[in-house]
Amino acid sequence: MMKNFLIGVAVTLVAAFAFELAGVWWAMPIAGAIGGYWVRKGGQGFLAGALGVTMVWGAYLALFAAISPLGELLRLFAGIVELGDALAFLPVVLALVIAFLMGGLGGVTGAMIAGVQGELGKR
Amino acid sequence: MALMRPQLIKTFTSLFFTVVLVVVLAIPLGPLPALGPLLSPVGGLWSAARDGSFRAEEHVGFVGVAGTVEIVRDQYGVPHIFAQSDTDAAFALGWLHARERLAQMDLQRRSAAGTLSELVGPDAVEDDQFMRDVGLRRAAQATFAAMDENDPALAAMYAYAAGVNAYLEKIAPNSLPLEYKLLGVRSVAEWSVLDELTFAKFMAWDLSSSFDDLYVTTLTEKMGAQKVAELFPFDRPYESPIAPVWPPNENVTSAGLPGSNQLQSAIADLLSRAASAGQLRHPGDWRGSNNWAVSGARTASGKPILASDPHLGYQLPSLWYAAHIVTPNQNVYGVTLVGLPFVVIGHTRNIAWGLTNTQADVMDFFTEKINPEAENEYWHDGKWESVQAVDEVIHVRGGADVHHEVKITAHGPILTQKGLTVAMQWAGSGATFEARALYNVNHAEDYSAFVAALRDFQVPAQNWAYADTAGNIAIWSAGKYPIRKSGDGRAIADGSTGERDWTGFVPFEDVPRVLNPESGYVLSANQRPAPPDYPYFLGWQWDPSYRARRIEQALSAGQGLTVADMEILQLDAKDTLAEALLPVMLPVVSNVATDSLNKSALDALLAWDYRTGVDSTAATIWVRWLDIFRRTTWADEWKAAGFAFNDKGDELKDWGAWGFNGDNEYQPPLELWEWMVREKPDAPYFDDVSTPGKAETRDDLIRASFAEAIQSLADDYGPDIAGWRWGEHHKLEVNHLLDVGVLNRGGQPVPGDGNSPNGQGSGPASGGGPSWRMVVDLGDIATSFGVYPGGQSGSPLGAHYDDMIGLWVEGKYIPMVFPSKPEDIDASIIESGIIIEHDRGE
Repeated sequence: MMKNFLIGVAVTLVAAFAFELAGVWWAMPIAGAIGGYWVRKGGQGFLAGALGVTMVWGAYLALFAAISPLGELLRLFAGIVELGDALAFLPVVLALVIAFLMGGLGGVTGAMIAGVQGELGKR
Repeated sequence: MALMRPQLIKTFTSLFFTVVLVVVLAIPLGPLPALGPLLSPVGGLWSAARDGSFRAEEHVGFVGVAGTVEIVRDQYGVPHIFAQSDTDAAFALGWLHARERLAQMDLQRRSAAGTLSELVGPDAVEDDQFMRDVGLRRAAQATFAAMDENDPALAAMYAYAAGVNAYLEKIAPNSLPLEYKLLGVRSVAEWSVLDELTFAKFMAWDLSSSFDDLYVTTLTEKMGAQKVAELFPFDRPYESPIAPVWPPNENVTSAGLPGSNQLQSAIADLLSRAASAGQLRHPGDWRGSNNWAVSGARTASGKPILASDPHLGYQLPSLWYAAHIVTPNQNVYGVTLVGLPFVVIGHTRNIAWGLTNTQADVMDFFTEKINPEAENEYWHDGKWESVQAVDEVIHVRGGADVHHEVKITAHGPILTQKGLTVAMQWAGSGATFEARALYNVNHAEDYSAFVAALRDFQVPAQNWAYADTAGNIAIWSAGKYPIRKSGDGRAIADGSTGERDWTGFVPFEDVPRVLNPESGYVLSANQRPAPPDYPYFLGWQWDPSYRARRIEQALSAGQGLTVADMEILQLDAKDTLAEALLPVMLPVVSNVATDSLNKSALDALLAWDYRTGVDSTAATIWVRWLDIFRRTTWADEWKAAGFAFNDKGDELKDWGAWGFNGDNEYQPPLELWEWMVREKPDAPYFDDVSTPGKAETRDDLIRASFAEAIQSLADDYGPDIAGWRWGEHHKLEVNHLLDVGVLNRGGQPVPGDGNSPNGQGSGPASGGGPSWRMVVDLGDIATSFGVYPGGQSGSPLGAHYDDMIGLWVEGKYIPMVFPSKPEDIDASIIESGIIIEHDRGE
């Protein structure tokens, strides 16, 4: 069970990384769906997809933070959209939440599809 | 199947919510772009953190360069480009411009061509329609078609475009600058030579278009031709070598146009369209420029010195981009405009030049008589002619294409058909060859080559100050000045008769110029270019002559002048109008300034040296007093004539600012008013026509305006005169093109006003003035200096976004380092290096 979950996370990671590399942000639910399909259970599928995509996005953002003045950019962006310095981190949080939701919803959908397929197989 | 139904419902439900989430993330949220692409790691906001950054050493390859190009960027981010050919250098400059200023370049070309809607959507359609009517793109196409395909200037422009596109290919779509991320745009249209020519036309339009004809037409309607001739004379007092004339000999001929309502309806529509498209100047959009050259007879080195400070609106990213270009054919340093591969103001090994705007009248308006039987015909010079129709297609982001029909008569595009049909004729509408002129100036090394190059410089007409290592100094007012069959073109004319048509242009041999005068100096500050007996009519919208007056004071007294002296003169804040008028005005108020505040103000003015320095309280008092005194002289006449004012009463409603200089406001020229104050105290215009039983005099107005000025300053800044320092209430404003607070800069106190060589707008926010200060020593051309209020980078995250603003505010300059090879550059000033090599593309 745990093994399937971990494989689901790993599969999502790989797919999300590949899609992101191609610049296709809207394919993140598909990455999640692939992981969820592997896990086959709704709750775990959600978690596998959510974690996989969030880890990829998080890793990218960490990389940007390491190689460029991301803090300055965030402060600038916060100024432009009139968020104020105190909320400059908001885009990062928002990005991670979006990644989590896209991966998670994709994951649960993938798990459900696997379920339907299983039902059809039994027949 | 029934057993499967819950499973299917769950599946479709989760799929539905997944799709909804993706769709929501793909849709822009109000002013914010879609969150999905904005926050995605690749292609999202994050990569913008590297905007404007350069590695210490970079090595890149492009198919578009033939040899190796070495670029050394100094500590201010100024590139020194060493290339083996002119085209390779142009390629490198295009690549650098795109890397540093891509969004600015794109916005500029779109504003010029009327294609902003493609970028920002339906909100820009009306502005685009106006710019399509004006037709800068058509003018650029005409220029392109007329250029010889072997023209080296064209080759440079092709290479420049290839450099821009090489950059675009490398970065798009994921690493576009921040501006594009915020707009949610993921592709930038390829750059073309036509874009360069269109942008050149835009600069020409910006510096030579004028809607003053509409104002003069309205003035003539409301006040009568005689009064307009009196108040807006072609020959002004104190204009050297002009003698005062009162009343003037010349008359504005009445336009002889149809009824007022129709005319005013057309004018209102035209003004509204121009204002909406941002093409109408406003009070406070202060402009003007200085340049001068002194001969070796007046300098310490025995060689000429040239100074140039074009006064334009301050902006970020900066209008200018400094660059030094070295090839076997050229060695030129100066400021370029992003979008063009040429140095506009600068120096080569042996010559230096600087520009001021001539402000000549090269734009007229004509009413057209449309055939009531056939709306595509108009009456012109005795016959019906066909209106040329052009279908302009405006692509709209997020909307359907808009087809806009441009109608063109023999005079030019029709800009309104509300009330009357009015067409605009502008000297820049056809093919003009400024690009070729700039290319040749960049390669000129002596006077004859310089003059030969100017032959191609047509619009906007410019006063070119010149100096060379051979000891020559000169000014040429080069440009394309229309010759009219009759009339002066300063009001809307009846286009049907053909009597006001343009018949040609002033021959280049006859443009105003001066070479090596006995005085030992030449200067221009947007004043009238030629004396009254000059055989051609050039215009009438010259700047007030006070900056020129001060520069002439300094130069005529100067001996043993140095570069430092010239820098001091560029920074000079002495107001020569105050110098001329306060000796007349102060005695009038000396007896009535009895209370302590008025007395303090009077004492400050009495002790004043006329310098509008940041610590001067007298400067603040003078500027306010001047403003109120002028206004009270003229406002009553304008109100009586039926003009409406804004709520504050200091500007005409709906008119913006007339003239090239925003400080002109609506009033007659300052010199005329100065002359009235000094020598015509009984001039009838001092009487307030709204008080029929009372005859106010000049002195009444001086006293009343002084009291009002002091009271309004006390109301605004408090009763303590110590709080009235000029610098406290006159601060720099350098706004970003998008006018977003966090991207704007400024707030530093700045000296100067509109009547001092260090020209600045006189309002509390100085948003225009010396946009580039340059002093070139022809005795040692490698030790020349320049500075502009901005920085090389267009990225707010770049180190060079605003790093020259502080220097500029402090009156400091950066050395224009001028090596002929990379090894000659002092290592301590090198920030980074880039090698561009030919890439075979294998």
